[in-house]
Amino acid sequence: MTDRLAILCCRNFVAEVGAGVTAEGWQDVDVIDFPARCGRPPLGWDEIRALLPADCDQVLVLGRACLDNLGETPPGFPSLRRVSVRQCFHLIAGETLVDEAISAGSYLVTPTWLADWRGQLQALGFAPGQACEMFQEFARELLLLDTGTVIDAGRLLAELQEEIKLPVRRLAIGLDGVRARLARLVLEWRLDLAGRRCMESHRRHARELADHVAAMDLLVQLARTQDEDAAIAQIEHLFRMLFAPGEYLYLRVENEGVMPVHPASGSTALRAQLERLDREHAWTADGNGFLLRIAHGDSVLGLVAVDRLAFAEYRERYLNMALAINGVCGLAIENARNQHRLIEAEKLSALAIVVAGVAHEINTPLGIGLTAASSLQDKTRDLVARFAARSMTQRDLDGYLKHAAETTQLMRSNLDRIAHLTEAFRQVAINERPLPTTTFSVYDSLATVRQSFAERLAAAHVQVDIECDPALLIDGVANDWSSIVANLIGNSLQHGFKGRSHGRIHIQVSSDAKRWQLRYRDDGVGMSADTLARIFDPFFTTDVQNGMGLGMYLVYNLVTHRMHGTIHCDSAPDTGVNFQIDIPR
Amino acid sequence: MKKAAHPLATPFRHALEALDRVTAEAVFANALEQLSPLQAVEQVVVPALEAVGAAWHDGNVALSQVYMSGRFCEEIVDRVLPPSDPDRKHQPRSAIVVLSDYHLLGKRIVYSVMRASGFELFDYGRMDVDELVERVLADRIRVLLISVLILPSALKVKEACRRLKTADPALKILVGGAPFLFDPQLWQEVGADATGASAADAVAIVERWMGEMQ
Ligand code: B12
Repeated sequence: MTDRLAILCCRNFVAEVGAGVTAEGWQDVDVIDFPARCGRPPLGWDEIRALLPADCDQVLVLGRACLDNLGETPPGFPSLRRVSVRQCFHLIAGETLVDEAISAGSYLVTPTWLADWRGQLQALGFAPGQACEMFQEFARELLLLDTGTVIDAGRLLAELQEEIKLPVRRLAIGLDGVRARLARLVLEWRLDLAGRRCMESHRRHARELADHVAAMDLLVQLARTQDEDAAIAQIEHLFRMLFAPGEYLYLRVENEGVMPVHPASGSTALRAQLERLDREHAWTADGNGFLLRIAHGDSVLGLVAVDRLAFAEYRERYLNMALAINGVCGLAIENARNQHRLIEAEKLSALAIVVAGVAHEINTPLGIGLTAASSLQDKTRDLVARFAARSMTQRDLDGYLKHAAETTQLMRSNLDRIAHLTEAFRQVAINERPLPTTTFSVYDSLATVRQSFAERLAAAHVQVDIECDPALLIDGVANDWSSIVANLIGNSLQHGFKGRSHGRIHIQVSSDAKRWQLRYRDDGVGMSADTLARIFDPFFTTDVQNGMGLGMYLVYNLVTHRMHGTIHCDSAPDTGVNFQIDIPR
Repeated sequence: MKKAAHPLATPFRHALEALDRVTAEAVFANALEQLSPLQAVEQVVVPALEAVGAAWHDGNVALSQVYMSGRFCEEIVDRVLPPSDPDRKHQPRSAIVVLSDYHLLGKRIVYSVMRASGFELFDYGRMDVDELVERVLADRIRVLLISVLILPSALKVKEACRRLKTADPALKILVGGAPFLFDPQLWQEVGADATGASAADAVAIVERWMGEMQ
């Protein structure tokens, strides 16, 4: 929309209309005149179009009979308002004044008409000297509505009187009438313009709002996808749904390189174009589709092409929508990749920790065993040499046998330790394959575990209370539950009651519709914040002599990985420990 | 026959375009006080969406507004659609499908109203021509309802009809959706047996065919 208005009016009044516009000081209004034919023939659309400047898109046409027969504004025409007056003179003077004068028999003229009165009479078909009779017949006087636009109106009026021999009168009306009428019309135009602008901005806001809401909506859908393939499939669904392309192609980009697609899809031409895309977006070669770069921050994550659009005429609007949701698509892909990286990193670091731990733990007994073995080998070689040289004494033999007994014992205990360790590792590296589940009574399982600790519990004067409905049945791997509780009790016994003469452990199991809840509490010495922070780390122990630091790690793995639950521990020095384990049903 | 729009269709449509869920909900609740759920859907929701589509065509709303309007109406329609009638009719094997395009709302309404009227029919979801032809023949379908929303999909109906009718000349095919509303001759051009403008039409036409088949 331009900000200009073109006012079209009859040549007879253009001087007044023009003067009115100048007097009002409107810089944004142009005045254009059309021939004064008084409807013989009326104006046509083509004629109007030809009069308007090329960039004109808002028009106000003033007229009377000249506007008859115009009919509907044709499509594609500038926005146009028609104002038909009952009497042309109403354009420049008050309606009452004009109507009164006409009914009193005045023949009204404007200064513009007067300035060219000879030409005007001729146009009416009168040769010089002939008009007098006709005027005398239907008019009583000649009245000049003097708007002040012609300078020597008095002289012209006298000349005209000479010709038509009627009394003449001059009424000074100035520009008041035309200004009042124009002011109203121009004001209405401005109001309409402001209204349309308002409407347009309202629509734009609604569209922008919709873009954002739609992006949020899509984000919610895309956020459900966890891996990149799923996100890519969701994006394809979306693009097909929104834009109805005949051809769709998505290329993954990793480390700035396009990944091969299996099976190769999309036409080779489209693929080649897409691979060459060096901007955020571009049109496809034939213009019936577009290419889009999906990025997150500075890194390009994918390339999308939609081509052979079912309704290519909307392509600009499609591209706008695509651009509005592009960021969300990028976010989804990036999110999927992060998820993947996280899982990989977690796997890797868990593996590295376990390998290092295994190596470290096994190294010591292995070293001792090796030293013992080589020492035994040396002593044996020595003894064999003496025996061969027949210099072996009874003391040599006794010494050797004693040494052999000691070293084999050492070897045996260290090999035992290795065997023990391996078994512990095997448990920690939880079987990937799910074990068969059974329905079992938790209470019974817990009571069995407690029984297995009976001797140690009695020795330490620790009492274990189990708060659990004996009828509560769980679907799961009973062994896993027993392992968890056994490790917790073992841990309490080993660390929790150091320096205490007695203690208490409380285990509570309950369930709701969604999960099983296990609460484990002891009233022991508790632990420091540092210890608490590392309690589930593998090989972390505060008792290097007796612990391998794998018990709580095993509990953690069982709860989170195998049972997909959560485990939290609260503790502080002298407040005991409090474990909360939630397992989904 | 297509039902005339209810006066509430206009405020409902304005609320959709402004993404004003609260008002849209309120207007729809108001409609439910005066109309049955199905009437409210067909006389308020459907005409409002048609107007949104026309406003899109004229460039007055963005695609995101169309999308959100569709999404929102899906929710509303899901919530109020009539439950199925336990009293099943004795009937020929029927199925309904959306051919190639991504508008599922129309089909959902027709499917639900058919079931509410006692018809049992397979819901094939969204399919392309090959898949559809294969399934219809494998399931020995006698009456097939096809819903489409964009013209290119309507043109695919032609291929589907030709192949299906060649394989089974007795199969009856009923088509519906926007392109058939825009162009009243289109159903004949694509070789269907009938078209319907609403879910109620679908019920009436299938009932008539059942009478003829017995
Ligand atoms: C919402 C909408 C969308 C949403 C759909 C989201 C959703 N969740 O469903 C989105 C944004 C995804 C979308 C996308 C597009 N849309 Co759209 N969309 C519409 C809109 C506004 C409403 C559709 C709707 O749901 N109506 C309500 C349902 C209930 O009505 P209905 O489907 O007509 O069903 C009724 C009857 O037709 C009948 N019926 C339906 N099926 C059957 C079957 C049988 C057997 C019988 C008897 C009766 C029957 O009963 C139903 C209940 O009364 C229409 C406008 C319109 N006039 O329909 C455009 C419209 C259908 N879309 C159109 C277009 C062009 C598109 C796009 C290409 C994008 C675009 N606007 O340029 C993509 C293409 C999608 C694709 N690949 O298929 C055009 C189609 C023009 C044409 N000549 O074909 C329309 C007509 C808009 C327009 N005037 O330009 N669209």
